[in-house]
Amino acid sequence: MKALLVEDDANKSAQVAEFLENQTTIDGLYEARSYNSAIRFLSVNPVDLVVLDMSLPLFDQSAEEDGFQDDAFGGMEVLAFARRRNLSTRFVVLTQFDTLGEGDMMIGIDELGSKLREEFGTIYLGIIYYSPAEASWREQLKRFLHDHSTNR
Amino acid sequence: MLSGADTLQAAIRHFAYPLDESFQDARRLLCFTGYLPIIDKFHLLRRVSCQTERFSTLEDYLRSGTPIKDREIHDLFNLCFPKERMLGASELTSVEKRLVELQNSIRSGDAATARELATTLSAQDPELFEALDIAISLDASGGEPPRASPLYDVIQTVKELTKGERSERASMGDLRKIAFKIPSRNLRYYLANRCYLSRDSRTMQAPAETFEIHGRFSYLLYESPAPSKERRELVVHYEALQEAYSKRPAILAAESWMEAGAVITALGFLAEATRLRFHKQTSDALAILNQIVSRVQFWNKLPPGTKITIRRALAELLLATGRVDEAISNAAEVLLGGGILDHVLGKNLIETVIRSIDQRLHSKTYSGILVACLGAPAKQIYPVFDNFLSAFNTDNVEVLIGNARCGVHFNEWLELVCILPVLARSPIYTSTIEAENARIRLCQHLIRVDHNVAKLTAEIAELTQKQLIRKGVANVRRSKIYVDESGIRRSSATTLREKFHQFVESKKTTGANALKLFDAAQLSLYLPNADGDLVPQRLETSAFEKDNVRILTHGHFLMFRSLFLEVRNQFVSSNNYGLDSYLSIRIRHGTLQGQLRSPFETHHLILQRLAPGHGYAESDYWPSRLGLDVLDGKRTELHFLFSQFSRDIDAEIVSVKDQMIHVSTEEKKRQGLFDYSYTDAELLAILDAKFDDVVNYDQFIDRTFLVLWQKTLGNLATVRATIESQTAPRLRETLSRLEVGLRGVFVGEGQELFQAVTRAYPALNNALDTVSDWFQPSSQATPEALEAAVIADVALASYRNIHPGRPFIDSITGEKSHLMHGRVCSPIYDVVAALIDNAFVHSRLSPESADVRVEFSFTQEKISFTVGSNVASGTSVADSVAIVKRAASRFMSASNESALISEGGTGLPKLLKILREDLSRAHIELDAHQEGARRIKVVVTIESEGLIL
Repeated sequence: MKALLVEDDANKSAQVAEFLENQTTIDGLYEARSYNSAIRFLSVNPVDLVVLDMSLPLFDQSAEEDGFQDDAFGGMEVLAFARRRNLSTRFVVLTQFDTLGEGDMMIGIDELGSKLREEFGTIYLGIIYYSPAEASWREQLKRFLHDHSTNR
Repeated sequence: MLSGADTLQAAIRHFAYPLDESFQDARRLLCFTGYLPIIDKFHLLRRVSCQTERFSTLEDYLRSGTPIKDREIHDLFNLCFPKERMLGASELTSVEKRLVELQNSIRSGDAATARELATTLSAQDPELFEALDIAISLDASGGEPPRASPLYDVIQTVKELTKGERSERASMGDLRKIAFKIPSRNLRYYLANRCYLSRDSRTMQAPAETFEIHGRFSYLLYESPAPSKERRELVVHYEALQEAYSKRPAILAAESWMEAGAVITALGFLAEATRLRFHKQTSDALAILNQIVSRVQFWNKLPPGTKITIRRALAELLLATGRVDEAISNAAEVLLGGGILDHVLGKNLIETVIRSIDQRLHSKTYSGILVACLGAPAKQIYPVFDNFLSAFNTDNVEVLIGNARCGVHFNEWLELVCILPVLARSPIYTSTIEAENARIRLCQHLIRVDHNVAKLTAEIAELTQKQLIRKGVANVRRSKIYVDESGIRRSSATTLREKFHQFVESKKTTGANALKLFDAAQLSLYLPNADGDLVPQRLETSAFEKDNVRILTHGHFLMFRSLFLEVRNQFVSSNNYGLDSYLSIRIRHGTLQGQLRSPFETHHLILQRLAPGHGYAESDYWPSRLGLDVLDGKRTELHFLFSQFSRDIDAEIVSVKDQMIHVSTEEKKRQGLFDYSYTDAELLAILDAKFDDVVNYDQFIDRTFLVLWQKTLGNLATVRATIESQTAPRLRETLSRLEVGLRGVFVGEGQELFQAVTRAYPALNNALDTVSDWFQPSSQATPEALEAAVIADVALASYRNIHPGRPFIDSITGEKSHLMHGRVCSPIYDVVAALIDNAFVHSRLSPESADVRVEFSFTQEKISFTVGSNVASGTSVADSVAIVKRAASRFMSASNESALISEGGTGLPKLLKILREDLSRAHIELDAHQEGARRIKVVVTIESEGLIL
């Protein structure tokens, strides 16, 4: 299946991409670094699966692009876009935050998972906590890939 | 008390709302619910309005400390700006507290408590008009105020008047008598205000203190020769009263007196509809209001305020009956007409629109207008915007311009919904600048059709200025690798030109006549050895012909080498014009450290270094966020980990600064990555390839600079690669060690701290990208001329980008719109950065405690930069002033060349070099003063001539 990795952190992106490229279930991997590049890609390229970071900048960061800050829930906007456009793509959220948001808006990863499930239903497959030092995210992601490729 | 994010958002918008002369915006003050009688709010409004010349927003006004008695405004202000104190607030009296309690119970929908409180309060104090108003409002089935109260008399009189039982003149006379009997001055105003709205009031004898109100309101009633502007202001004010207090009997009575015919009928209908709704007869209430709206001629006669009131009531009823589309359209009309919605209604409507996945609902202009006017964040407006476009099968809003099917209020939709943060979410724009340009085009279209011209013209100017500043900041960032070529040409022209002529002459000696003297068998060729040095080797003539070798004397080559290397030395090492000097000023002196520390400073993970050998200052930020008191062992561990982390990061930065970013030549062997050493073999190849046909001096210098810039490109690539392959991993590893350490101390707690650490990783990547981006050659294109204010903003924004953890206040005064050469952006940034750096470093205060203020002043004759700061309690201000004055005097009289390529100290020699050489200023004034007890101010003044166009 074809997959899109949406991730703005270069190190995390490299690590996750390397993992995905070695999975037999993936036969095409694409990358996006922001909300904007993700929705532009999804608008014209159908993929089966998106591995999505939750905290994303609006545009790809560059020396000339400093207009908009990261949004702690930028990933949700990508999901909302896919739902609005009736895309059949499925999403796995891979975040390195065990809590997201600030102050009253702070939310734990499990609570966020429930919220995403409630709001996005079938297009949302699940959420995984990513830590570069731990291997558990690989196992969980592998399981999602396997389940999704089996259920397709 | 107010609570909740929505209320706060609304309050913040109110405070930031600009004031203008026409009261259009200031009147929003009247819409704050509070315990003060409305007339007092009117006085408040007038006070604010009098200040409009001095304050551009309500927030400015409130921050100015002008006393405001309204407790609720005070509370709102404190909620919005918790660190500020607003003067003038006083403790509430017990009666006031109960009134606030009463209002809160109404807001929360607790009608039973509200009724009980209102009844009790009005019985206790018949002069509490607000309580009486509320008591009656809540009891629409005919509840009346206590018989002994003035309000009872008022209501009775009005009832008689509206039923036609007594003449208007007689009723008004009674009302006047009631007003005179009331002892409370505020209440007297309150009632008298309404009495004098009557047509018959011109014959009444008003108490002295009501003259002003009478005079002003009379313009509303008579075709008086009052100035039209004032009349317009009063109409606006009256409409605000209607909006804020539409359902209160006293206001309804006032409206009855004011408006004949249509209004009295409409309000009668409205009162009846309100009564029906109270008794759960919603569909009947709806039918009555729909009757008003559907009678076009009748409806058109109503003043805007009355229409807003009716539409608002309709919106409530329609939403309650599930007619969402119509509820939204009526609510949007209220907002477009300048009215406001009740908090609960607004919240319900916005939720309805945002939660809806019904594209048809979003395809109406009203939906977008509603969510935008109610202040929904861009991420909530965007789906509505996107669905609207989907209904027209497009992603591009601009193609809809001129499409008649877009519906009513499409221009308003373009203005209010298609704002920059919404457009930035569209897939058709790939960058901020594209989204900004799209917004500018929409504004231009709206201006062409004469829609909100003043506001949109200002928006275009603001966006254009932002773009110029961003461009300027990028130019400053890209000007760090710089060599002042013209300075080198100017300063070394005599010696270099002479050498060049010797070089040209030496070539002539290799002509054909000279060759005849040589014995080929005795000749040697200079060939490169393993080190690239040219060493003489016996000539093999056979190879000579085969390779088509040209003959050149060694002397000519030596002449070239000497000349080339002399230009090279100037290019890299000239104190005033060379690369190393700019590397020192623009990268090594504070900038690199600031940029690489910035991701950690933003998240409070790195500490402030104390004097050498004294370690790092303890920060209170995370201990207080995590609730660690001074005796808590975790606090000590936290400081230890942060200290270790800060030390490691600083050590890495020092190694980059002291080793990587330096120039190295064959004479000055260093670890620097800016390697400008050449072997003889390389020089011979350069001579052959680039200089063989050179015939004049300027051509020679041009070619030499070209060769040196080519070498620079290679060096820059090496620097970028080293940052990526060595510096970046080491900094990430250091951050990772901190994270591991923190996770060992805070197990199952400190989520906010770990969020900050996680955010620091991508922030570090961005900082590294920024640093990497510095190592590009400066643009050779001449930057466009910019307004003085933009140049100042570029300098300030550039400094803030590099040092986000150093807050300061800035001001730009004088002739700000003067155009200046774009090329001065970088030097002006260098000057300001040096001054601000000094203020922070030499104040010996933490960035949070330092109060640094930066001022730019532009006139036709002079430009001055002033930076002031407080200083730590252990530091003598007088001594600091004396030190700056001494240093200024020393460096003014003699330049310190070695200080230009080394870091540390005050940076004054660098600053003076920039002023003298980069800005070509012959006369510089640099002075320091003591300001008050604990502040120091440093002022640099230069002449404007040649800088301002």
